[in-house]
Amino acid sequence: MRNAELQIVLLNAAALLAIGLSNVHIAAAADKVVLATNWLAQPELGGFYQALADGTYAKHGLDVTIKPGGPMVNNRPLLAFGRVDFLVGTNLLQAFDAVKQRIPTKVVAAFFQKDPQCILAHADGPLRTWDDLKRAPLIMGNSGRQTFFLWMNAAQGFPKSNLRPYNHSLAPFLNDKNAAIQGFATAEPKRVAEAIGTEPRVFLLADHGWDSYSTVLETRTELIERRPELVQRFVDASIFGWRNYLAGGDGAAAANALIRKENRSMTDGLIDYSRTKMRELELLGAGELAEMPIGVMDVQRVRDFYEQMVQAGMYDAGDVEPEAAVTVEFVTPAADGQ
Amino acid sequence: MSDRIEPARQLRTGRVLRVLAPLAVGAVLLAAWEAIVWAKQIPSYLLAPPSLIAKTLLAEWSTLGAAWAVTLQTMLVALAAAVVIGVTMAAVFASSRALETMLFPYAVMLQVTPLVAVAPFIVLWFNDRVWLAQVLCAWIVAFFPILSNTSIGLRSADRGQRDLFDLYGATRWQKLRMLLAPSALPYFLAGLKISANLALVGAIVGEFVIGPAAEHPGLATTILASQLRQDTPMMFAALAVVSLTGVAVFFLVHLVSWFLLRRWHESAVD
Amino acid sequence: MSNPPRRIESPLVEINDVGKSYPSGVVALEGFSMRLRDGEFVSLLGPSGCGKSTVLRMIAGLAKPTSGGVRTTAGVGSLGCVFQEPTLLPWATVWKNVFLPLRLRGVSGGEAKTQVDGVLELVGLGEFAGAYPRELSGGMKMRASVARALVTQPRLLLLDEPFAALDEITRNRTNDDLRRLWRQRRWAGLFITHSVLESVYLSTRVLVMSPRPGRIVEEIAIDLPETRSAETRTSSQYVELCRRVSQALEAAESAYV
Repeated sequence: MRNAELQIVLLNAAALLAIGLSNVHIAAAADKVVLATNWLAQPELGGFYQALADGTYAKHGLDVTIKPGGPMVNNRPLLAFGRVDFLVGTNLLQAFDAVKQRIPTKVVAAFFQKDPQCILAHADGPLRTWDDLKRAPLIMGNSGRQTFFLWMNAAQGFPKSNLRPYNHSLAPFLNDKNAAIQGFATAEPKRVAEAIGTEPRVFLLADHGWDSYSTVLETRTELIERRPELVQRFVDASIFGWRNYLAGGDGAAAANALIRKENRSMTDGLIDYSRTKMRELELLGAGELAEMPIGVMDVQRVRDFYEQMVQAGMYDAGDVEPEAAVTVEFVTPAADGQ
Repeated sequence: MSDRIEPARQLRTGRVLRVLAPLAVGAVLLAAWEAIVWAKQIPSYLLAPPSLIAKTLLAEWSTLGAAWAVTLQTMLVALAAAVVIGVTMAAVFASSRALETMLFPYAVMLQVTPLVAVAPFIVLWFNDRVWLAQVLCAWIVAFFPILSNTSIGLRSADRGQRDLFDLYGATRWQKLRMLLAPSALPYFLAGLKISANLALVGAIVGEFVIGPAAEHPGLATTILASQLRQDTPMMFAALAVVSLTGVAVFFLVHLVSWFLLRRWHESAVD
Repeated sequence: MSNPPRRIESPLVEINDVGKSYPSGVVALEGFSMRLRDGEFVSLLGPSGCGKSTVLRMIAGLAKPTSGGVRTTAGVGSLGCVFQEPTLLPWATVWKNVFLPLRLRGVSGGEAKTQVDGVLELVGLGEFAGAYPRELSGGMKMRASVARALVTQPRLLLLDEPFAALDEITRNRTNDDLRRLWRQRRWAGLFITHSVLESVYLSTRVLVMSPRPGRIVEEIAIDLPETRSAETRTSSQYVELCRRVSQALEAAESAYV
């Protein structure tokens, strides 16, 4: 095993920065791999926990550690810095940003074909349609404001002045029948229902033209070039993980136990709800689970989405070659797909 | 005699040094930083060199400047409130030991409450007036040093000087204005020096934990957004704006302090 | 109340059988009586800790007796006080420091100008009106403090060991100045000191106090000539008076050992 580490320590006026570049491993036994995610352990990341818990990663010769994200945690720099090998990204925007900033990372698989990002409104409140939402106080955190809200603002006419701060608490929403709040369609409706008894109205961004993939798997270009077979093994094992996680029955028990252990606020009720919703909303694709081409990406769709974002004013036309943000070599496309 | 002239020259050299020395240190550090980035060919997304940060600062000034103005405003309003409320409370405490004993623990409680924990509630209590909630956060961290220092300062008047005022039948107000206030001034200014930069930190942290005002995001949002968009040079540019503001504020308060105390207080006399 | 006959001047200060004790149990004064008339310069001489400063603070109204009576016909307006320390306000110029007692009475700077300038000339600080206290020597600070006490043209000047911290040369010179000022203005002076030489040189009368609890044990009239100078300090009459005062002081102390 070789481990080259370069440490540069610099004092600047504001802070002491310690930055390290560490390299991945060349080994005969199981390869040590670290996966950083974008949130706390939750069913929306269930496929990865499944592959870890049921030994799929081990069977593929991988010794995997999952490093959860969370509020105030930004795992993204760890990928570029070489501290982790794979990263779960929320949507394609950050992959485009990486290209724009010449950060050598790429999306190698897209697990959610449809973004579960949604806006919630009270079932007994005055907000009944997507257009109603544009007039309502909209509770939204910073990452939403810097990503999908830019599209909502530019392409859908949601005014910035309606934004209200979001601090990972539903309280401000529960308090105000006129308010709308950001959420995951697979989780927040259940949390709202548990708090006030009725499920809220759910408006999926994906149903109104937001066409990003979600829960995308990213890695460094250098790793793709140097160890394509390792990337392939990780992608394959993760796809198995997702297929097994959503298959239902007791197959997911170990993964769910792991999720609950990592994230104490998770309950069986919330987990069941999320798994059901992921199937219902066809987040991983339509049709039979066994034949579903999980993780697949369509380069044309990536191009179209980029074009959409250019029109929303988030990028200049020449900023990014959108196809440079992804590589489709690791996921076998569906028989009918490209 | 030469030693009569020397001190004056030394004085001037001392002042020049005080300005030049930090600048020289800064220049050396920046040069080393730039050199390492170039020599090791560190990509800018890992560590932006100073030249790129400066370039970004100028190129993105329309964004950075607007955010800076917002943060500066939050900071100044919070600091002004900290001065007014801190000094008033200190004056009340100085006039009554009983009130001080009653209220001081609460001032301490306010000081040690973690902002991160209460911020979401503050914004609810303020009925979504985000900017005011940010000001409150910055005020909470900025006001205590002023209260604490001014309180001590108001009690620090010399015993003999108090006797003198009593002897000549000074009123409470005359005593406060002509004796206690000037005695407390150096203490107040020392508190102000701490509070000014705490107000800046508070304004930024407040925006981090409360969220940006919808249409007028400040520097914290710039930093968060540049992190999210992986725009490292922009993030460093925003941090540079914060640092430079902090240094400028510090020197400004230092200058005011020096001007007010230069004739009589040991701390300000060359 | 009937006015006393003009012939016997009503005492400016009258202290009758005063006691002073502190909550700690320390008894500072017991059976202390004294009188001070207009135009007198009286020294209160005693070992340190005998309560002489307490007497001064009582006359100034800064402390109250536990028993007995302190009466003074010199009201707040006609009282000046020089403390052990110069107690100048460091943030104010010499001029403003001297102006302070008048300012506290509501006199404007313009109205006070002649008076302040005059008293600064009197103590020889005319050129230092614009200086800050930290720029002055110890002796100059004390003179500024005296000027401040005199600016209200008091009938009674209380001095609490004002020159104790000065070196002997400066101290002698300052005493000469003080004596000159007294002769020019004729305020009544009460001078607290533990220096025999100083008390004899300055006073018309020396009151010797016992150690704590303090009271007057001996009164010695100083019948030196009006005009006193360096020569006075070497005259046999001065030396003799100093010897008598010293003996009285020693007798008072030994009685308590």
